[in-house]
Formats: sequence, C-alpha cells, structure tokens
Amino acid sequence: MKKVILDSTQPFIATGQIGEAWAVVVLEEIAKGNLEGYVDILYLQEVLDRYYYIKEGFEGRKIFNSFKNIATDVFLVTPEDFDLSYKLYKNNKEVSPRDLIHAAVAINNNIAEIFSTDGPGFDNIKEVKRVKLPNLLEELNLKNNYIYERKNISRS
Amino acid sequence: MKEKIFLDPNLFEFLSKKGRGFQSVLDIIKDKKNFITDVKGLQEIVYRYTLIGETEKGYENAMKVRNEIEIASVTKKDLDTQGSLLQRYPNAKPRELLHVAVMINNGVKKIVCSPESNYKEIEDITVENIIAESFDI
Repeated sequence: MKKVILDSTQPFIATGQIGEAWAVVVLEEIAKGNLEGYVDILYLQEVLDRYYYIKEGFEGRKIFNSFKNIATDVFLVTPEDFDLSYKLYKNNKEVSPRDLIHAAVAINNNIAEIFSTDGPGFDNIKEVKRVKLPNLLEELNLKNNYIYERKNISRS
Repeated sequence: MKEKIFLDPNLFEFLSKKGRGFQSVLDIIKDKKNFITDVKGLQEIVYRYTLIGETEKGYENAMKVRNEIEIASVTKKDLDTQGSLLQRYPNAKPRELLHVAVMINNGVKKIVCSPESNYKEIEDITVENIIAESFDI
C-alpha cells in the first residue's frame, strides 16, 4: 500500500472549493485504510497553534483529535530529526524550517513521499518527493471523478 | 544528582529585548549543567530567527543549545498528556502545554521561561527565576 506523510496544510482545506474538497477525500481514503497517511507531532502542533491564534481553540482541539485518530500513525520527533533538518537546510536554504523538519521525520521513518497541496517547498528537497493532489487521486483511482467535478464547478 | 530544569527558549527572546545576547544566556545554562528542553524548543528558536530573516543564525543558535543541554524527543505520550492539559487549561497556549507535557513525562518540575509566558497558571510545575536573577531582571 502507498505510504505518504501529510503536511500540515491538510486540516485547513475543507472550505468548500472543489480541489480542497477532494483533498478531504484523500483523508477519507486514509480513514478507510486504502492509503497509509502519517503525520508527525509537530504537524499536529501547527494545527493547535494556528487555531489558538485565530481564537478558535475549541475547533482546533477537535481537528487535532480527529487527525490523531485518522492518521495511520503519529511519528514522534527526535533530536536526530532536528539534526537532519539542519543538514537539509544547508542544501535547501530557501525551504522553510517547518517543511524541513517534516521532511526529516519522513526520511528518518523511511517515508519517501509527502502529500502536500502547499508547494513548492518540498519540491526543492531531493531526498523526498512531493505528491500533488491530482497524482495521488490518480493512484487511488479517483482522478476521473475529480476532473468531472472540477469541470462542473467551472461551468457554474 | 541536580534536579533538572526545563528551559523554554522564549527566555532567549525576552532577554534579547533586555539587551542580553544569546551567548550570555547560554553561558549561564552551560555552567549550571542541569537544563533540559525539547525538540520543539529547538524548532522554536529557528522559527523566531526566521521571522526576522535570519534562519541560518537560528539554526546555529539552536545547535548551540542542542550541543550544551539535554534535548527530549516529543512523543505520542506527550501528545496525550498535552490533550489532558488542554482539557484542564483550555485557554492556555498549546505550545506551552506541550512543553509542560514533556516536563511531566520526563519527571521535570521546574521551568525557566520568559516572564511574559503563562506557566505560573499550571499547577503541575513551578517557575524558576534563576536566569532572570542572574541578569538582575
């Protein structure tokens, strides 16, 4: 089964636009067991922090708990992950530290692909591959429906 | 063995506002040799420097802390403890409660931190002022 690590844009995508709704479908595939989707602990902290700062802490805690339960597993973050993120930084100075630590966790847990709708930070890290939404939907045999829905929306 | 004290890196930012450089704070920490922080704390040091366009310096300073004191991983158990703390302290900053969770799970009861933080409200730990006292702040 395909394995991906999720970046922290995923909880912020369910706002009604069709591409974002299809990213939610990816989460449903993880919940159904059709895809292995991992998160790391700092990813979950970003969810809590962002909702806290927009004064939506209760909502943030609900999403935090949902993602803890939906994810195939939650990776701990170690000092060695930090060391690797610093090494990655030396070759990728344009990439945000946030993306670098997620990439380091992925590498140290032998996950080669990161599902992210928020490019292009991960595209610059040669040690991991960013999986974009259309490609992932294609691999999950959902792309035809996705294209159909997008056309319908663009006509309306 | 000396009792461990958790270092919240927000102390560096607070003291820098008071004109104290990163290294002067680090020197005190090195002397005392009983500090611990967690890997999110390292990430927060980097992030604060990134906000002012100095990511490289952020990594360098974070690595100085990494090399001088014990760094705890952030684990699933910490996440669960943070969840329980969030129930008890729904208005507290999640980042502070994660550090408290790491403290609890590593048997650490004291913290040094910026006076602007809200750790005093958390019953499980006590705030130490030893570094601020060293600078007479």
